[in-house]
Amino acid sequence: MAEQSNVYGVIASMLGVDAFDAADQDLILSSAFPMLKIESITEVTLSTVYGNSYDLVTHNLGYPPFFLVFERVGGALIHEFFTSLFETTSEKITMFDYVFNSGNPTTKTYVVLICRNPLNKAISTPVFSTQSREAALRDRNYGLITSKPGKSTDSTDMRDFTFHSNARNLLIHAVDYREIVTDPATSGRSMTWVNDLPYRPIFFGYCSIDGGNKYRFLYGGGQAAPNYNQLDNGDVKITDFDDGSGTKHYGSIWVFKDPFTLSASEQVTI
Amino acid sequence: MSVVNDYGLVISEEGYDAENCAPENTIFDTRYDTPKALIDETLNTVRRFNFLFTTTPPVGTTRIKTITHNFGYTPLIFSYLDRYVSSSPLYGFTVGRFYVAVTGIYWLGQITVKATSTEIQIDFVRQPLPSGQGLSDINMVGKNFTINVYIFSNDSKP
Repeated sequence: MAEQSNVYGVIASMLGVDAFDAADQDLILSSAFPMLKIESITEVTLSTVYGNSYDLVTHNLGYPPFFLVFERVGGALIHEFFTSLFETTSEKITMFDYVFNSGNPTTKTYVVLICRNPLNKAISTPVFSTQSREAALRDRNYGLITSKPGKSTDSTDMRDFTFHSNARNLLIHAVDYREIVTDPATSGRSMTWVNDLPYRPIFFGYCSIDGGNKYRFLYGGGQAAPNYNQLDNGDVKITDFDDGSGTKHYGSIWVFKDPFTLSASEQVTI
Repeated sequence: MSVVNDYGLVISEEGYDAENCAPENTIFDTRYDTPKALIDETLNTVRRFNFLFTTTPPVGTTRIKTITHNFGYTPLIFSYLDRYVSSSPLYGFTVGRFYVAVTGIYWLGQITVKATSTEIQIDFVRQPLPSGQGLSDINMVGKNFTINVYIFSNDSKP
């Protein structure tokens, strides 16, 4: 167990890295850093018409969960966001068709990932160390693995495991959940997660504009508000509108330990 | 820390009993799958590509990068437009379709990141310029941006 302040519990580092002084982003497991817990992956084919809302998945979790939506295109998978608006309540995931098709139906297949991680629950984790150490290549003879029911721990198929120390498991650094308030610098509202890491971490963002009932997956910066983006210093900012109705808006910014710049870029000239 | 009655390992949040707390109050719970990012031979979990356009691809789909994984199934992926160096519009910041030169409701270029059962395919899709709209066609020359791709071992099929 690592001597990281007075933390109790379990810490497991990448092979070749001492757990006692591993960087947070080099851990595969820590009692201090929650993980995403996949509740379901559901495939839904819908024929939708522009300007209408549709139910995608009923989850009945009793809270708005972390979710992502992908599009299945000819067997392949694309991480979807733009052509429709995806929202969750405490009961279900819905979509609003933004595909302008002159009134004709558009048929698409969606893949919906839902996790047992509430969007409306703030999480704050400590920063123990960010000095990354050199790690040895993974050896599956070392580490922690848990197989799924009916599957052998000797399996070489990663799909047979709920946890495998040969894979990098996304560790949650923070969930910044709070009301998006008036921005005195603009005519709208805004919310900024202030980066406390020495690198730009990966992130996702959601917001509610109806007092906390529905949470939508946010569009990237440049689209109509509400939208979000990451600044050069790693801060993540939600830019929102204010229609003067007094209805509370809430933001849920999810930040993971993983840096954007973990590896060098491969240069591709087109 | 506790081993639940069925199997596995559960670590609860501080103040909760691992024996009986809800999954929402666990840090780690092997009853649930978790997104498991692929680690390549250089120990990286993210593949980063910096694209520099020296020409504007023709109308249609142009493959600009292929990553071979050969899983035999279509994995979950996350993709981000990490950074772009250009004053021209390039929207769709954090996910798999990045729209280029959007004007009103028309998009003239799109970058898609798509997973198949053997590859990750990054394509540039160019639309023909619609007539009678007073639009200028896209010009990708000099456009420079970075895309991050995370490939997970998780099957995207339910």
